[in-house]
Amino acid sequence: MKKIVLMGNPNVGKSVVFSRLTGANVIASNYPGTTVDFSKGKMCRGREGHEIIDAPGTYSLEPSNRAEEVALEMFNQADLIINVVDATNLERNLYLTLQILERKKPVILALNMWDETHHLGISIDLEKLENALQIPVVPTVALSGEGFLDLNRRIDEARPSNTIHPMQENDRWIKIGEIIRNVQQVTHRHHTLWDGISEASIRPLTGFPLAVVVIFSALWFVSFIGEILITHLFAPLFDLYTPFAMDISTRLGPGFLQVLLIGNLIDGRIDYVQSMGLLTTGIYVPFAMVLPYIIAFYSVLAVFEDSGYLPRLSTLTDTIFHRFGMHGFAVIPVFLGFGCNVPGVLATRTLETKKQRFIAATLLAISVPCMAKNAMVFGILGPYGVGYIILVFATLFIVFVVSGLVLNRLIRGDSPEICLEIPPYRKPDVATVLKKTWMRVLWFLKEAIPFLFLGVLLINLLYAVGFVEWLGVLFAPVIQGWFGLSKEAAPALLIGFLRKDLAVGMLLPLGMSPMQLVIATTLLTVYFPCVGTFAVMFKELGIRDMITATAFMAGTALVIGGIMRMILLGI
Amino acid sequence: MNRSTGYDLGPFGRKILWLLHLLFIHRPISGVPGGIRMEQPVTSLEQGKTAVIIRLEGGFLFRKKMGEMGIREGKSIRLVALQPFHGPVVVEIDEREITLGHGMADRVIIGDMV
Repeated sequence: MKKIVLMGNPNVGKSVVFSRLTGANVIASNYPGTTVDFSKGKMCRGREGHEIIDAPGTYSLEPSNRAEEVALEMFNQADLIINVVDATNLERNLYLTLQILERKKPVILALNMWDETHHLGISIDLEKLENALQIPVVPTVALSGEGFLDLNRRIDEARPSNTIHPMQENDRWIKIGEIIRNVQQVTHRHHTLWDGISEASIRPLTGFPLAVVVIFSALWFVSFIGEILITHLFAPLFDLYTPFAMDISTRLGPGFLQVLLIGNLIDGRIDYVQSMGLLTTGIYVPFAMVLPYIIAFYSVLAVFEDSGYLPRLSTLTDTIFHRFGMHGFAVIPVFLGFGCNVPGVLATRTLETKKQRFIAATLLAISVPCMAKNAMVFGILGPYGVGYIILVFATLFIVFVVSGLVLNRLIRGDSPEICLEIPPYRKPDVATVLKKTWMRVLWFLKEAIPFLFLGVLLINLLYAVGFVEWLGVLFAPVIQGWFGLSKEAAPALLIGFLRKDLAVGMLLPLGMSPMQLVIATTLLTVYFPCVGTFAVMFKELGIRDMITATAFMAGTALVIGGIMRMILLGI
Repeated sequence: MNRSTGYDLGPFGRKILWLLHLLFIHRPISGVPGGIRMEQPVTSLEQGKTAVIIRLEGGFLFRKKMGEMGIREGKSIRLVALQPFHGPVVVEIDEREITLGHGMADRVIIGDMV
C-alpha cells in the first residue's frame, strides 16, 4: 500500500483537500496551525488502496516547532507527496515546494484556491510552471471540489523533479524569483472594503473596541442559542421521557437497582439534577444541561475560525499574553478551552516552547471554565441571582491573571515572540460550519458520556459502601475549617474529578448558603481538571511537568479557598 | 558579539553603542532637508507607509524564518499597525499581512520610502 502525504504551508486548505480525496470528516479552519495531530485516511484508486496522511502545515522541512517536526516525520515516510500550494501566494509557497523537490520524492502539485487568483489579478501559466518544476501541476478549488478529478487522475504521473537539485537557502530564493518572473503575472489590484475592515480590526485604536464587541456578542449568542435549544427542544423531550422513567422506577421497586438506575426520588418524583441515577441524571446532565451550549459554542467557534478573525485576535492580545509567559497564539487554546478543556490542551501544541505549553495547559485547567463547568456554575447559582455567577467568573479571571504572572516568573525557559501570518477574511461556508459543529459535538458526546455514566455509577457504589462518609470525615478539617463549607461537600469535590457537571446534584441538597456555594463552585473549577483533561495533560506535558502542574493546581485551590472564605464568609 | 563590526564590545561597550544608536539613529528623521534617509527599522515607519527592506539583522535562523514568511531583502514592506506597549507589529508584504514580535520587527531594516 502506497503512502501518500499531503504537504503544504499552514492555511492553504490542505485539510479540505484531504477530505475531498478521502471523503473523511476533517476539520479545516482559516487559522494557521489547526492540524496539530495528523489525520489518516484511505483512498481507493482502481484496485489499489492508498493510505493518505494530512501532515500539519509547515513553511519548510527544517522544523521550528512540534507541528513542523510531525510534518517532517510524515514526509520521510511518504512514497508520494501531494504538495498543496496557495495559488494566490505562489512565491512564498514555492520555498517548501523546492525543498520537497530537492529530496527527490515523487511529487504532484495542487495549486489550491485557484478561483481566488482571478479576483486578485494573478495569472499563472500552468504549462510553464510544469516545465520549470518538471512535475504535474493541477489547479484545484478545495471548497467547491473543482479540479479534483484531474488531481486524482494525474496522481500516477507524480515523479521526482529532474530540474531541481539540492541547493543553498539563498539560491533557493533566486530560483524562486526566476520561476515567478517566468510563470506569474500580477495586475494591480485596488484595495477593497474587506482590506479596510481587515486593517481596522488589527489597528489598536479600532481593533480593541471591535474585539470587545465581537467577544461579547459571541458569548451572548452562545447563551441565547443554548437557551432556545433547551426550552424548545431538550426540555420538552425530557418531559416526554419522564413517564417512561417513572414506569421503570415503579417496576423496579425500592432497592439497589432503583437507586442505581433511577436514583433517589425526591418527593416521590424524579429530579433530573439531584436523583443521581444512570437513567435520570446520567442522561439529563449531558443532554439537557451541557449539550445545548456545546452546540451553540462550537457553531460560533467554527464561524470565528473560518472567517479568519482569530489570528487578528492573537495579534491584539499578544502583549497581554506575553505578561503570562505565552504569546498571542494562546488565544486559540483558551478559546477552545471554553468549550471543552481537552481540545484546548491539545491545541497548546502550536505554541513553540515547553514553557509556553506548560503555562497554557495549566492556566486552561485552572481558570478556563469549560461548558460543563459553566453549566454547573449556572445550575447551582442561577436560582440565587446573576451577582453570584459574576462573582465566580470574576474570581476565575483574577486567578487566571495572577497565576499567569506567577507562572511566568516561576517557570524557566523562554517565550519567543509571535510570528504569524494573517489570512485574508473569508466568508464562512454554511455547510462547512455545520459539518464542523456536528463533528465536534459528536466527539464531545463520545468523550463525555462514558465519564458521566462512570461518575454516576461510582457515586452510587461509593455511597452504598459507606466510603463517602469516611471521606467526608477525612477531609472535614480542610473543607469545613479552611474552606468554610459543610463537610458533606467532600464527595461533590471528589466526584468533580470525573465530571464537574455532576457536582450540581450533589451540592444542591446540602443546604449551604449562596456564598458557600460560590466558594464550592469556584473550587470545583480550579482544584483539578476533569479526568479527560488530566489524561491529555499527562500525555502532552509528561509525568514531571504534570506533577508540577498538579501541585500548582492544588496549591492554588487551597489559597483561593482560604481567601474566599475570609472575604466572602468573613470567618 | 556586535553584529555589524564583528568585535565583541563587552557589556559597557554595548551600552554606549545603544546610547549612540538612540541618539543618532533611532530618532525619526523628519526635518532633514533634501529628504536624506538613513537606515531604520521597519518599526519607525509611519502607519500605512511602504519602504524597501535592505537588510535583516540577525543570524541564519532569524533570516531563514523571515524568508519563509516572505520577508526578504529587496521586498516592499508596508507598516499596517503597531500594537501599543512594545507589542507586535503588523506588516504587509506581497498583499499578505504578517504579525511580527516587536523585537523581530526592529531587526528588519528598511531604506528609502516608496
